[in-house]
Amino acid sequence: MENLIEIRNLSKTFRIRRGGFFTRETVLNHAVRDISVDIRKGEILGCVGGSGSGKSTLGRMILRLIEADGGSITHGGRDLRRLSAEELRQHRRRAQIVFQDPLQSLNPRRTVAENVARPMLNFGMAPSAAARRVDELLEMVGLDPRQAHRYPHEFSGGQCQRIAIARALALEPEFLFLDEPVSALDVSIQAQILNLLQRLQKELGLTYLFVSHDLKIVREFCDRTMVMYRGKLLESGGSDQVYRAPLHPFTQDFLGTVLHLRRDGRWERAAERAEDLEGAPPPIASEHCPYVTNCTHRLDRCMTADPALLPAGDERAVACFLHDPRFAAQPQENRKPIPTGVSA
Amino acid sequence: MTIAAANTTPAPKRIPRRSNLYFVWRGVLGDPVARIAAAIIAGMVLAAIFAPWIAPWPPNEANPELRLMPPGTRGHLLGLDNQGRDILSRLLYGARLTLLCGILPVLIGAAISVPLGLLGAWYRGMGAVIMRVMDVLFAFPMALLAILLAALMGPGIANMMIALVVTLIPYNTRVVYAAACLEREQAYVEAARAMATPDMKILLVEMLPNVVAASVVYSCTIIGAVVITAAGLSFLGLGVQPPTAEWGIMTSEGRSFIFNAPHIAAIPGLAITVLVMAFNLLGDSLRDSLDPRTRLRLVRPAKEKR
Repeated sequence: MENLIEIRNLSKTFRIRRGGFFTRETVLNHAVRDISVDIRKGEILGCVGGSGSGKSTLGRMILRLIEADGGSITHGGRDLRRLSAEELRQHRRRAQIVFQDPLQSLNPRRTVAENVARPMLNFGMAPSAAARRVDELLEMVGLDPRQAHRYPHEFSGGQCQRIAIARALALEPEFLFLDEPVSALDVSIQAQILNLLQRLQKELGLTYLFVSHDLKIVREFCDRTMVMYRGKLLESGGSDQVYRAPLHPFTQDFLGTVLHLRRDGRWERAAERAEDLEGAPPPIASEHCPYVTNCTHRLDRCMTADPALLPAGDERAVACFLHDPRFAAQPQENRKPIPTGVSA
Repeated sequence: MTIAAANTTPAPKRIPRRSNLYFVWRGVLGDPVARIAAAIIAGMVLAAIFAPWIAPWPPNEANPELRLMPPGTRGHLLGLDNQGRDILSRLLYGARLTLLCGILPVLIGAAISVPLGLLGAWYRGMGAVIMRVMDVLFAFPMALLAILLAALMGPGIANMMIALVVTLIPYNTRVVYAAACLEREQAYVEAARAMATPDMKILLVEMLPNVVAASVVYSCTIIGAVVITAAGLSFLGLGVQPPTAEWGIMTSEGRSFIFNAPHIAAIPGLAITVLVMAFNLLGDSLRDSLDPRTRLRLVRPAKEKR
């Protein structure tokens, strides 16, 4: 399949300044580190990882809402990091975003119609034409256009997310970045929104980058899954394969957390476990595997070098020395599977 | 859900969007406190406009034999002051300058500080510079800064108003800046960027309506302080000059007779209090009726009555 977006060695470091004028110290936060990934035309690429793993930053860099520090992003052959102001404007027509909190992403002092019409007005559509298109869009996402004069807060969370989706589709983009679009919604509403997104994807031939920390949804919803941790891409591959046979120890632990959570429903323990996965901040920024502090399969090599993302067959890729034929110390069959429960 | 319900009912007419003005009108009328406040302010404005017709005496006509007479003196409803001038007439005429000195500097100040606060919140470098300048102005107490400026520029109403505007800007700018900084982080602003809304449009079309409410409420509450500061400046001889009727001056003139004729200071003082309170209460009501999240509550009882 043809690649719509190609990301090569993308990185972003946030500089957080602390202290006063004289005692200024700069803390570096490596939000995204050296990520290379392809997003294929017409696919739903899921991106999972804990909070602070750089999932949202990655998507925002594709949309140029955050400027990348290094690497390149090409979208349909255009280098997104070297766009002129007008090219960037045109890029906005092709890539759009749906936010996590639906109510917050709509301007509370503008009616639904005004909110949805705004992007079209920005691109010079006549107000009357935009109004007709708003009706079309609202119908497309399953809302009654006659409600368009109302304000966002008069709608439920699910309805607001439909409005936000309608607005994102107003410019007929080919790519949507879905930034945890259902995690702020009730479980019953989540399914409705996901069905809507799936229908729209088929009807309009859209490509999605779907960011979530809900592993179950990503498994159901996404064609391929990429697993991120501390700004690094640890593993990618078809959703079925990644979930059936996770390769990276982090993925195994991460899936185990969720399985555990579902098995006996003890939320507190599960939360502890998820905290554990975040671990202590690694002592050095880059010269070791990001998961080295928590990894149960740690090799000596993991402390001194950062494993590269290597193909692992079946269109999969993993960044772990265990799966690097050059360094794997133990034969594959000798490694014990990781227990999925809590093993404190 | 409303959507399902609306789908089954035979297409009702599309309800037009109601303007902000409609909600302000409805909100103010629906709230008895705001209604009284609005009536007081409207009454004062009318009194100021029609003072020459409704005032029983000319404001500066002295009647020395009746000086210091209390309210209720024949022909002088609110009594006479130390020079024998009719207090009611002076109160009516004084409303003109008092309202002007209270409202105009606040309006001009808001017109300057709203853009300053918005731009400062959007362009952070510029914001740092603006807010540091404001901090310098903040270092002076409001009254002292006004006195300093008025003294530098010389006495006169225009100079006094300029001084008041400069004094007000840091307060209002900080209110707007804080509100705009909060709004800037909202997802809808990021969404606006993602849909290629130009910066100026984000500021003026998307953020301004969310920010201006804070400034409206603040402006209404600060009117009282401005009236009082203006009175203070006039008292020091830097603003309105003595024979002119103005509530602040009237209060300060009556100060010397507070023990033998308390009404001279009390009546204009009371008028200032009522004015300040009316603006404060109206400001509260305006905030509610300008906010789409609270204003439906204000309108709903009116709808149900129909």
